[in-house]
Amino acid sequence: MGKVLVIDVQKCIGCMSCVTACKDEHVANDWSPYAKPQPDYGHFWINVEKMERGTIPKVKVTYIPVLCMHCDNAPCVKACPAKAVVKRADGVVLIDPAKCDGCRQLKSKPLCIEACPFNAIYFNEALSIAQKCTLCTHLLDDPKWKHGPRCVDSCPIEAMIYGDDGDPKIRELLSRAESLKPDHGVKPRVHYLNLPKPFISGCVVDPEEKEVVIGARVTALDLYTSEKREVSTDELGDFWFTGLEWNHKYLLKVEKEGYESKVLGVLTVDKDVNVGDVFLEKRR
Amino acid sequence: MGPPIPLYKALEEALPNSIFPSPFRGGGEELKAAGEGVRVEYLPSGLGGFCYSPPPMEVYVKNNRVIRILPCHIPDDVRLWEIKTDRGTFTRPRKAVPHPHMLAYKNRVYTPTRVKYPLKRVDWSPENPNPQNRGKSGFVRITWDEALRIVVDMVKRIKEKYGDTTPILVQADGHGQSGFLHTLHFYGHMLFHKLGTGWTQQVRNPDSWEGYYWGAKLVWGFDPTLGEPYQDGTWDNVLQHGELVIFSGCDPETTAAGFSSHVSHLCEALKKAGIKVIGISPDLNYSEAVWADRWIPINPCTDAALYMAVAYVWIKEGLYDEEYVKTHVVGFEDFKRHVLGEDDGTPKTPEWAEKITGVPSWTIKALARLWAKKRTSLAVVYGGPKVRGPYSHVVGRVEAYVLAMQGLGKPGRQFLRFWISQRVNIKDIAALPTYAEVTAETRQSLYIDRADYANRAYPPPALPLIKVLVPDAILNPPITWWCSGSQLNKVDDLFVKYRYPPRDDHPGIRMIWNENSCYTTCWHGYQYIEALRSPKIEFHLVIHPWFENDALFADLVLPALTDFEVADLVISGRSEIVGFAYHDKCVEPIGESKSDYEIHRMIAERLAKEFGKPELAEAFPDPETVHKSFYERTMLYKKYGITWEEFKKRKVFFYSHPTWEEWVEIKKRFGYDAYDSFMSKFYKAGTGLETPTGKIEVQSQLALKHAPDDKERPPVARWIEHGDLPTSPKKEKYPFLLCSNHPKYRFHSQCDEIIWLREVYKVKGPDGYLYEAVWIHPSDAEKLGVKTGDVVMIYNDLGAVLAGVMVTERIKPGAVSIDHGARVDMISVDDRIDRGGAIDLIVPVSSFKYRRGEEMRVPEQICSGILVGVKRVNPLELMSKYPQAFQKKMHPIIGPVTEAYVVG
Repeated sequence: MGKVLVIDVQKCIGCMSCVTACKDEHVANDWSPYAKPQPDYGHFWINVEKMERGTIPKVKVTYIPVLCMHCDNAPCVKACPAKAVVKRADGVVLIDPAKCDGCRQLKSKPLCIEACPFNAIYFNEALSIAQKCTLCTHLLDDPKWKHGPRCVDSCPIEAMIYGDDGDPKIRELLSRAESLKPDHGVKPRVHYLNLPKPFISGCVVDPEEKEVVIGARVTALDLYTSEKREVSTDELGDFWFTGLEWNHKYLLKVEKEGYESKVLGVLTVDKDVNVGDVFLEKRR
Repeated sequence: MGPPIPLYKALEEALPNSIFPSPFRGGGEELKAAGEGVRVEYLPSGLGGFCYSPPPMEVYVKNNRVIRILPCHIPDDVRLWEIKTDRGTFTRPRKAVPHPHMLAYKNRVYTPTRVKYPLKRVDWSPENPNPQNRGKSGFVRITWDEALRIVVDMVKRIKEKYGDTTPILVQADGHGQSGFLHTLHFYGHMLFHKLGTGWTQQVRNPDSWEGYYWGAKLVWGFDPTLGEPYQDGTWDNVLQHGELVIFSGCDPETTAAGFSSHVSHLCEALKKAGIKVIGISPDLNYSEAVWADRWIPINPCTDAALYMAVAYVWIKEGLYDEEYVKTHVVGFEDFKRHVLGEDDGTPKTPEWAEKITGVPSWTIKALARLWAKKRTSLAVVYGGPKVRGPYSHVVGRVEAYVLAMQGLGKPGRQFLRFWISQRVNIKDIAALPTYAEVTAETRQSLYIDRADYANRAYPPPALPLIKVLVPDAILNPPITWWCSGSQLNKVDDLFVKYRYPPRDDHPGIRMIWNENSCYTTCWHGYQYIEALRSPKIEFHLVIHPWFENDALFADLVLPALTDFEVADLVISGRSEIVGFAYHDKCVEPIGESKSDYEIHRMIAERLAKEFGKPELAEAFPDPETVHKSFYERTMLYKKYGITWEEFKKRKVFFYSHPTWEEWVEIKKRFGYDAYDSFMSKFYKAGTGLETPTGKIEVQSQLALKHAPDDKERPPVARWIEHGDLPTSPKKEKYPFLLCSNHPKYRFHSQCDEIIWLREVYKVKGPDGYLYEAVWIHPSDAEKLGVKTGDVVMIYNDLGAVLAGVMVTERIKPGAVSIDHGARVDMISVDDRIDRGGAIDLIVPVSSFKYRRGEEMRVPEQICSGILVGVKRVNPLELMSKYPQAFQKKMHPIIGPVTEAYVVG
C-alpha cells in the first residue's frame, strides 16, 4: 500500500503544464522539512521528454513525463553517505534538506545524483544540496489538500493519475502498466501506460497513373518471432504497422492485383520507420 | 430570428431547479483549507484582454507574496455540459487548465523586465526630441509628477500647435491582461473621446483572421465572427455525424489553450467519436503532432492552390454536390470555368497545384476523393498560418467555395471552430450546451461598451487609421485605402474608401500614445521603427508593465501593473464555463507602478483642469463604483439576489450547464433540431446567410456592385500568381518560405519573459544566449550547414533577425517556421539586426503590394508566407562588430532586463 502515479503517455499532449506547476510550487517556496526552494532555473523535478518519431510526412510526437520514480528499491537511498535520502512508509522517497550536505567531503557531485537511473535528481549549487520531486508531500500530508501533487492537478487531460496502490481502480491500471527501465529492478512507483512502440509506415503509389494505390496488401514478417502482420493501404495510399517490437527485424512486402509485387527488404526497427513512397509497377 | 430570448421561465416550469448559479467554493471555506494566513484569490487566467478571461485561476497568497497558482477547479455542484450521441456521451473535465504561461504568472509579476518607475529617454525634450536616437539612447528615472506634467504638456502643445488633438495616434487595442477594469488597453481612446478635441484612432485589424475577414466574408457573411461561420450547436453535429475533420493549420493545443484554457478534451472527443483527423499545414503543429492520423505538409500560404485542385478533381469526376450548388450557391459557374482553366488557359490540376503547394498530385487526388466520400468538416481555431500571408483573401474565399461544393451544413459537413467563447461566436444559441439565458447574459448584460474602442472605428472627431498602415501614414502620407479594418464592422466597409491624413493641410501623426507596446513584434517592425524615428514624431509615450518591444523606442514609459497588484472583477467569458469572480489585491504594486485605469484617471484629472472640462475627470469614476454598477447588471444580482457585498465575500460563481435533454429543448425553441448547427439550418432552408442573396456567394454580389473590375479581389476569387510563392523568381535570392504561427509558449508577444518556459522552448546558442527557435528540416539544415543549437540569420530586404536552429522533421523542406512575438533585442537599429528573433520585424507592410500613392484596396496584415533568406552566423563575430549590444545587462534566461536600458 502506498502512493503511486500512473502516466498515460498516449494522452500526454506535451503542454508543459506539469513542468510549470512544479516550478510554481517549488521555486522560491521553502517547504522544509520536505524540501528547500528549487533554484529559479536549471532544475526539472518533472521533465517532459519529447520523442519525435518518423520522417516527413509520417511524423508523430510522443511525450513522456519523467520525474523521481520513488523507487521501492531506490539506488539513491543506498548511495547516500549521510542517510539523507529516506523512504517513507507511503512509498515516497525524500531527500532531507537538513541532513543532505551535497557530498561536500567527497568533492564530487552528490552520490544520489550519480546513482539515479532516471537522472531525476538535481544539485542546488547555492544551497549545496541534492534536490528532487517530493511528490508534493508537503501538500499531500495536509488532510485538507484535495488536489494531489501539483503536476497531476495541472494536467488538462488527466494523463497523470495519482492514487494508492491499494485502490482497486489504481490496481486495474497497474495491471496494464509498465515502468521505465524495467530491467533495473529498482521497482519504481511511477508507472506508465501506452509507452511507445515503433511503427513502420509508407505510401503506395502507381507512378504511371500518378495515383495512390488503395487496398494494397502489405505484410510485415517479424524475423525474430515469425509473427506475420498484414495491413491494407488506406484511402490516401498509406499503410501503418503500429505497436511493433523495438529492434526487431521485419521483412516487408507489398502486393496488389495487377501490379508487380515488391519486396521492400528487411527493416530494423531501432526507430520509427517511414519507408516513403513505394512505387508499384503495373504487371504487363 | 431576433435576439436570443431568455428561456429561463419556460424551462424552470418544466424542469424545476435546473438552472442556477452554483457557489464555487465559498472564499471563507477555501481560506481555511489553504493554511494559516493564506488567502485564495481568483485571477484572470488568459491574456485575450477586452475585459474577458477564461475561468479564473486560483491564486494562493500569503504576506504580500504569491505562493502558488492552480487551475480553475469547477465545483461538484456546477453541472457540466454533455453531448449525447449514438457514439457515446461527451463532456469536459471538471477543471479548466489555463495555458502554462498563466500558471507561471508569478514569474511575470516579479520579473526583472518590469518597469518600476516612470522612465524618460535621456535625450528627449519637447524642444529637442532627437527622434533619430529612439531605440539607441538610454532612460532615466523621473517622478510620477514630472511624468504626468510631461504628458499633459505634450497634449497641450499638440493642441496649441496644430489646432486640435487629432495628430495624436492612440494605440490602445489588441490583447492584454484580462481583468475587468484595471489592466485594459483602451483608456487612451476613452480619454480623448471625452476630451472632445479628436484623436487618431488606431483601428485594430483582424490580425489572426485576415483571409476570412478580407475574403470569406464576401462569400458567406458572418460579420460578427470575422468571416467564419457561427458555431451554434456545431459540436453536436460533428460528434454525431462526422467521419473526417481536416485541421487546416488548426492548433487548438496552442491557440485555443491560450485563449480559452485547454480544450484537449474536444480533440479527444473527436477521436472517441471515431472521427479521423487530417492536418494540412507547413509544420506538424502541436495538436496535429498528437491528434492527427495523417499530416499533409504544404508550402506556407499556398492552400488556395490545393483547394482549387481539389475542386478540379471533384468537377472532373462529378464528386461534388451539384444539387446543393444549384440551390444554395450563387455564381458557381465562373469559378468552375476558372478551375478548369477556361478563362485563363491554366487548368488548376493536381499537377499544377503540386508545383505550388509541394503536395504530391496523387495525394491531392486521394484527399479530394476522401473528402467527397467521408462526411468531412474543416476545423480552425484562429485561421492558422494560411490566412495570414499575402493575398490571404483568396484562400479565405476559395476555402468557403470548396466547403460549399460538398454541401456545407449537411450532417457531418461543418465548419468547426475550437473557439468556444460564447460571446461573439454564435448567432442564436451556444457552441456547446448552455442555457439560453446564460448565452443572452454573455452577449447582452456582459457587453462592455468601453471595449468598442479597441474593436470599432469611431466617427469624427476621431480619425480612423487601420493598424497595418501606421508606418505608411507616418512615412508616406497621404495614403488611401479601403475598409476601416474594424473587427466589428459590416462587410460593406470592405468597399469604403479612407484617407489619412483626411486633408492635405492636416499635419498627420505627431505624437503616439501606446498602451500595448507590441507593434514592433507583432506587425511589421522595421518599417514601424523607421516611422518612430521620423522627425515628425515629437513624442512617443508608452504605458506598459514591462520594458519590452516598443518601449525600447519610447520617449517616456509609464509603469503599468499586473492584475495581481489590484482588486478587480473577473468575467469568465472566454470559455463555455461562464461565471464571475472578484479578487483583492494579491501583492503590493511593484515599484511605483499603477494600473492602466489609474494612470489614465490621473491624466484625465489633470487634463480636465487644464482644458476646463470637468466631465473628463468624471469619465473615470472610482473603481468600486464601476465594479458595483457592472455587477448589478448581472443575472447573479438581478435574478438570484446575491448582493455586491456578498459576492465580494464569496468571490466566485459559475452558471451550471443544461442536461442534454434541456439543451435539445432549448435548441428546439430556437428552431434547431437536436443535432443541428447553424449551418444545418442553412442547409435545410437554402437561405438565411447575411449575404445580399442570403446564399453562399461564390460570385460576391457586393464586389460585383462596388468593385466589378478589381483585379486583386474580383467578384469571383481567382488564383493570384505573386512574388512570394515557390514559383516566384524571388526564390533565387530568398529560398525559404516563412511559416509564422501563433506562439506555443506565449500569447502573441506576451509572456516571452517567463523563465520556466524559456528554458523549455528557446534554443541555447554557442554564446549561451537563449534564441527564439526556428524549425528547419534536416535536408535544408544539411544544405545550410547547420545543426540544432546553431544560430542563423533570417533576412530579407527589410532587415534581419537571429534565431536558434532546431532541426526537425516537423517542418516541410523549403519552409522555415518561427513563431511571432519574441521580444525585440536590437543588435543594431541602423543595420536592422535583432537578436531576440522578433520575426515580424522583417515582415512587410501590406502596402508592398501597391505602387506608392495607389489606393490600397485590401490592406491585409501579412506575417507568414513570405520568402526569406536563411544563413548561418557566428554570434561571436557579431559580438566583435557590435560589442555594446552584447554587453547589455542580461538575465541568463530572460535576456536583457529593464536596467539594461537605464542610464545613471
